[in-house]
Amino acid sequence: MHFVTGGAFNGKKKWVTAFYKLEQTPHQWHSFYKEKEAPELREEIVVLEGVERYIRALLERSGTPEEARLLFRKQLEKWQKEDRTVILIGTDITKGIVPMNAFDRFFRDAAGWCFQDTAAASRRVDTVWYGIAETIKEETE
Amino acid sequence: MIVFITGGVRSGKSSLAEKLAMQLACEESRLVYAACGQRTDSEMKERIRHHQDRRANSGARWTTVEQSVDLGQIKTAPSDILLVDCITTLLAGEFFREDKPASEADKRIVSDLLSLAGRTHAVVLVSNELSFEPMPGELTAQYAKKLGMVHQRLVQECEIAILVEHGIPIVKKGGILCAE
Repeated sequence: MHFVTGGAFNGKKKWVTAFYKLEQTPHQWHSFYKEKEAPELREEIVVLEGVERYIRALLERSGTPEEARLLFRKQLEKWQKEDRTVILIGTDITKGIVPMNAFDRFFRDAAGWCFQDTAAASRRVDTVWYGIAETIKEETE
Repeated sequence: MIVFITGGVRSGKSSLAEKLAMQLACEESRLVYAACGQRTDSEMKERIRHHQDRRANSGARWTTVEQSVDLGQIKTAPSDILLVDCITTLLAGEFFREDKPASEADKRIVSDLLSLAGRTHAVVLVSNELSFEPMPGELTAQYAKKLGMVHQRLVQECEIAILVEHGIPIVKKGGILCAE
């Protein structure tokens, strides 16, 4: 798995598209901004965009960040076992002021934990800053 | 030449920008400071005064131009160093003006800045980091998206890109001489 993160509107999607040459390569692109559920994986290369939104949906379902994390971990294990390149794109929402609203605090907590789990489960992690990627983890075979 | 500098509030990015502008200047260069913020309240006035004082004590002569929209209209000479402070206030100016569409605010800014870079010795651009939190509303999200687009284009076009963290410059693209 490859985890690509960074702040909103920093060009993560564009970077992934260029890095994996997706314009010329068959792939499956799933956006959690459009569809709440995790998809059936079909292609050799699968991009899952908006992971933070998926975490949010899990939180809405479960009610607590701890429960959401458990649900997320189950899904993460499934993705990890897949014999394909799975790329997860997640917008980092964990660095702002503590929100007034309890749900928003839970959302940030869940996102923070789930991103840690995602990074731990991924062979490679990149953060994208206005189109420039920095590799913060890379495991060799 | 384009130098792009970003960072958090009060991270030292304007101060670094001024130092770099002074380093880039040659003998005949004018140092032109484009102030894009609008004086909306007393707190904003205080912020502006803080920046003015620092420039007055910088040991160099600055020409200040107040311009919150249509930055391309600034008159420049080929040897000028232009410091633009900052992209976020400039975007607010272009985004909320009534005579031109907000949807094209980002394109207008990028085109103005590239044109200025083409007819000066260097432009030093200061901006603020986008937040890392859920967008509080639709208008903020639209504005943040535009700012992100402008930043991506500028980082692509610039020779030097720097993120200032707590006064420490982190060079993301290109290289700088010691800022002190």
